[in-house]
Amino acid sequence: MKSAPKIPELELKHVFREYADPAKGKVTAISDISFHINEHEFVCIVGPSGCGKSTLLRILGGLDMPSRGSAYFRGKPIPGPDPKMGAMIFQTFALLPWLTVYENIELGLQGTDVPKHRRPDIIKKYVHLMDLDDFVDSHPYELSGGMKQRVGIARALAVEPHVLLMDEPFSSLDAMTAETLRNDVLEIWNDPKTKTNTFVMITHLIDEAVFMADRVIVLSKRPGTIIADVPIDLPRPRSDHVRDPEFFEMCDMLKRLISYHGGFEVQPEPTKK
Amino acid sequence: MAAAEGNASGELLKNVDLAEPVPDELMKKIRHRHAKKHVGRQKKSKKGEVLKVAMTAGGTQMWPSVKVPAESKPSPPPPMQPLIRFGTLEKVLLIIAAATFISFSYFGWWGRAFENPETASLPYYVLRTLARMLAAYALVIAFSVPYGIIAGLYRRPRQIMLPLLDIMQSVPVLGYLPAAVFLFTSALPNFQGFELGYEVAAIFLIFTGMAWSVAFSVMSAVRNIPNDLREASNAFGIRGWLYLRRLVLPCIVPSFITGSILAWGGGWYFLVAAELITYGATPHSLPGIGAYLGNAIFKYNNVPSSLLGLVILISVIFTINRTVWRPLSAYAKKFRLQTMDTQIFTETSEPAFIVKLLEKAGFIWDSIDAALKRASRLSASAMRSLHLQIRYVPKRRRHLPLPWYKSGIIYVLMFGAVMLLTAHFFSAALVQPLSDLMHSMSSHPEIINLPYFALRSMLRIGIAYAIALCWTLAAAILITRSRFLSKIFFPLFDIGQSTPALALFPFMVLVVIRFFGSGELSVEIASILLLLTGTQWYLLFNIIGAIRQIPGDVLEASRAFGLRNWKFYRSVLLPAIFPGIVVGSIQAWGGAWNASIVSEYLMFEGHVYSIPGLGSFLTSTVNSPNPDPWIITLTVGMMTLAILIMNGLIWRPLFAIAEHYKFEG
Repeated sequence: MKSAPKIPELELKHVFREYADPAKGKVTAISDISFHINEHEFVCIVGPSGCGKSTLLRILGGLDMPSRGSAYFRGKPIPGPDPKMGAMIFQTFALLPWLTVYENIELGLQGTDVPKHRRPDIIKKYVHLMDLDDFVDSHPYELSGGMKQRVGIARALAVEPHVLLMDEPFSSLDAMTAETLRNDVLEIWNDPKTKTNTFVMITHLIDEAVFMADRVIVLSKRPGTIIADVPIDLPRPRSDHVRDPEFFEMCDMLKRLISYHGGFEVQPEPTKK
Repeated sequence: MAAAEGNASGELLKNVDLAEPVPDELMKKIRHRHAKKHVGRQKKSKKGEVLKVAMTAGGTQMWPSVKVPAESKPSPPPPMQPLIRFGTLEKVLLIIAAATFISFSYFGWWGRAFENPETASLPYYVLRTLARMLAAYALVIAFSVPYGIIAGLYRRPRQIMLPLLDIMQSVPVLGYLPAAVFLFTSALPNFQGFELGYEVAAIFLIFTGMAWSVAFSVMSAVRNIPNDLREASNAFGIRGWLYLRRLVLPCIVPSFITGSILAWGGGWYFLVAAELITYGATPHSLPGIGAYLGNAIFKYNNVPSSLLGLVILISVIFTINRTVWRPLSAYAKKFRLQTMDTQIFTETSEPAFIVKLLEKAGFIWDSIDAALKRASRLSASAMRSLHLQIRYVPKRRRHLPLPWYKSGIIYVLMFGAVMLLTAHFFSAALVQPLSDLMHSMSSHPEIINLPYFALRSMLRIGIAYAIALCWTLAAAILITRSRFLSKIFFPLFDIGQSTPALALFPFMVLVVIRFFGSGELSVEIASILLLLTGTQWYLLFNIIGAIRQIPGDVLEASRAFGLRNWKFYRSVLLPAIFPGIVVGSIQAWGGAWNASIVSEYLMFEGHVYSIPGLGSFLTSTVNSPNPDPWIITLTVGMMTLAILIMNGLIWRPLFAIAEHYKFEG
């Protein structure tokens, strides 16, 4: 759908991540993962819980380093977290309870070199974009879950990163709110005015992945490896096509693929002893 | 639906010892259930896998059960561990022992230490002290757990019980001393050299050092039980003993253990004062390590023997912390309701002896359980026959807290009652008639200085608090950032927290006099140093706890947004630990007031070192030949009042603000 530039935005080459575990010795979270994500691509990563999806996202965001292999952003190795490169959205929102909405968004800017006098305008822009105008002075405990995640998204967008990394952003929201937010996120992705145009999202809902993504990367059970990398070439906007047989076929295909590889049965968390 | 089925298979598993091979019949049932749930999806599964799946389903319990079978390890059974592993505990103890031995030999102190006639019976003293502490702790369990549960569950009793607990906690531990001694020595006989009266008095004093923190933590744990769980149990008709056993007791386990650790620390801290009862004409000492320490310093002036006693006491405390409290608090984590994902700071521990012992002792618990269940059923049927049915009445409105003037009146009344009772106890204990209050005050004109003394003490505590806050903040941040540092320093802090204050004071005075001369200034400095020992640990442990409570996501978010160094501390870390600082400060000020009694007045080698303050006034009044009960009561009351006022005016409002600084679930 989109023309692929020569240097991919994000690239992983044979990435392994292992943890030392006092009880079991070495635990491999992800094993030999290679893929690349181009600019203006929306990629969803799906997989059973505990398969290393979050580890993968954290490596892309520079929060975690691969034990072996390497991660690249625009052809250069990712040295560490850099908000200008990729900003993150969390399932638990990760808002600071003692700050107002405005201050929470400002917090993201404090780590960047945006001069102080420019911050109010930027914040106002994204507050408006996420429909938070009436809540700038509220604290997180006064907001609903959906509103909190809007703050989370606004905070991430305000630093105007190249990549938006989302870790199950909608799974602690109710279905209706999640649907609205999904459309909002797609709108931002399509919005030429925002600088952020490459989106990576983790989810465990197949339908959600098919609804949003250009490509779905399917991970296996722990240790996570790529079992499929499926382009979703359904027409957009997909909200007009969710009743199409093609949509259901795509979902069914992915589900069959996953159940063939052992299903999405939730694994017991490895004992952290 | 799925959850219900899952629970059912969990029930099936619950009756099975997981270390044993699963019977075929059960396997079939599990497989059958499992197959029904995922028609055609699952490929052929191996034995272990099916078990694993069923286990997970069983793991979705509504609340933590007491035995926690679902989380215990599945097959294969873990390899047998050696009885004694050469771990940190053994290493540290060995180092301490070696250091003691070498330094004692080097300085030639062994001979001097054994000049103290009591040194030979030290092992026996340790046993006696342990027995005393255990007896006090048993009393604490018997008193504080029911008290906390009742005050936590029911609103009306709480309106009385909470202020009472607040006041009781604010009365300094040593304020109970004369009353305890009189009550128990006159009521209980001595037989064959075993001084039952003094023994019970000492146990009671240790009890007063332990009880309140446990009661408070149990109460707040009961109040913090999520409403969902309460309503769920009410909806399923779970009442009476079953309600306690299935909901309340498991929910209070973590707080109870934390409270117990604090309580034991408090007990150790006042051990010398409890065993070496200095009241009346002659100090009375009981066989015990605390009294040994006190006697070594005050009676024999034998520094080497007191050092030896200190080393042994520290080893005992350290061993208990490592073999009992550390594993128990790790075990208690299984009962936590929300497990926050803090990957960055995780502790590791192997299943410890005490935990195994607890699991082995399950049959005792089961029999108690059965007996109480029967009792509960009997009482229920008795009540039914009397038409006194306990019914669950749905809440109609949210209970608002009492208006301030009403709770103020309750506080004033309770305070008055407690003080009146105290005065009566003192007068009985001192065999002094309780004279007219006015008469007492006019015959002791120095009582007019009481507010001044309180101010002096408060100033001193304030300085100690400021110092403590500064260094603990820095230390907590450093320690939580490095696993290595925490491994080294945690044992040290454990020991420091529970080293008896009285045993340290003479050393501090001696050392400080060396450097600052024997003026009042050096006593001030020594006093502040001693106050530090009573304040800093509360702050340190609470701040460390607060840092560990910061959700992993929040830390990652701040890293992802490039917040580093000062920006991170100012915008994230300091606000996040603010609740911990407030809670720690409340405890620290309470501990400091308690310590101030023993830190302002010292009689050592025939010399009195004293500085103006409530503590020195109280001590000198009690030690005077003709102590006036009202004067003592007024002093104790002044101190209690100072604590209550500070709590009400400073800490309570800060605590309310801190509520908004807490991370959600």
